[in-house]
Amino acid sequence: MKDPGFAVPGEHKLDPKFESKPSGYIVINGMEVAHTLQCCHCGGHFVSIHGSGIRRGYCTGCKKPTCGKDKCDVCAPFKVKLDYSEMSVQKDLQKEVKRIEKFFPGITQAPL
Amino acid sequence: MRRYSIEHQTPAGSALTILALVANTTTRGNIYDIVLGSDATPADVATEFNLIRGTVSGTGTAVTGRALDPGHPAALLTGEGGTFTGQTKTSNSSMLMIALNQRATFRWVAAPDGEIVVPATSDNWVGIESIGSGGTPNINATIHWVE
Repeated sequence: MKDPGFAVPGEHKLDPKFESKPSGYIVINGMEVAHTLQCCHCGGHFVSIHGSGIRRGYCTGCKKPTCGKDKCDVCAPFKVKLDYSEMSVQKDLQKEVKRIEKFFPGITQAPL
Repeated sequence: MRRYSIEHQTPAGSALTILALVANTTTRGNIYDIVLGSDATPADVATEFNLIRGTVSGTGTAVTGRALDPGHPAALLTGEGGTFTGQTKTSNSSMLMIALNQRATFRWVAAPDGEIVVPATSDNWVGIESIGSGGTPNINATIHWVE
């Protein structure tokens, strides 16, 4: 079997999950080794590793996975934060911002 | 939608930004491809990288974006390569964590709608940071984006 060229010795013992609907692909030395999922609240990508014990989440409002960080536990969609940071909040999104700010003051104003 | 590319080479280090894509207030940028490698003599040096955000781009080496289609106009977003002065990074903003052996080449490609967004906010940036390394090999980084 050809050496797949893992980035870290012993990495073959981990089990990065290959997703049915990935948000990204990781290729090392020409071989696809893992998929990434994108957090719907911070826009960050992570590899879901089977059995790692790393805490991840799922937002029932956005119906998408989250990265599991504490700041992403609150449903503050990334698009809302993006529009707020650009100060280009449209009318329909202003209601969304107000709704989120009512329960979690300052969450949409936090740095992306 | 136009596609552009920037690349730069910087020695790895600690808390060192290798390559940054700086925002333009007119349009957002969507990063869809990142390549990391090293042209140094092969060695077993491990480096940790993060793809992070920042709010002040500081001063680095200007890198001009190249259009992947020669018929397209110049890029609106700009690139800057390490080393930087006066740069402000957003804490806990890591969007992709990469641990890499110097001998290997890493590539991340976004699926449709999975791109990493550079907001249309003045002086904001998204870049590849070398968090820590077992040495200081040259790191060659490439970023492709759509605007």
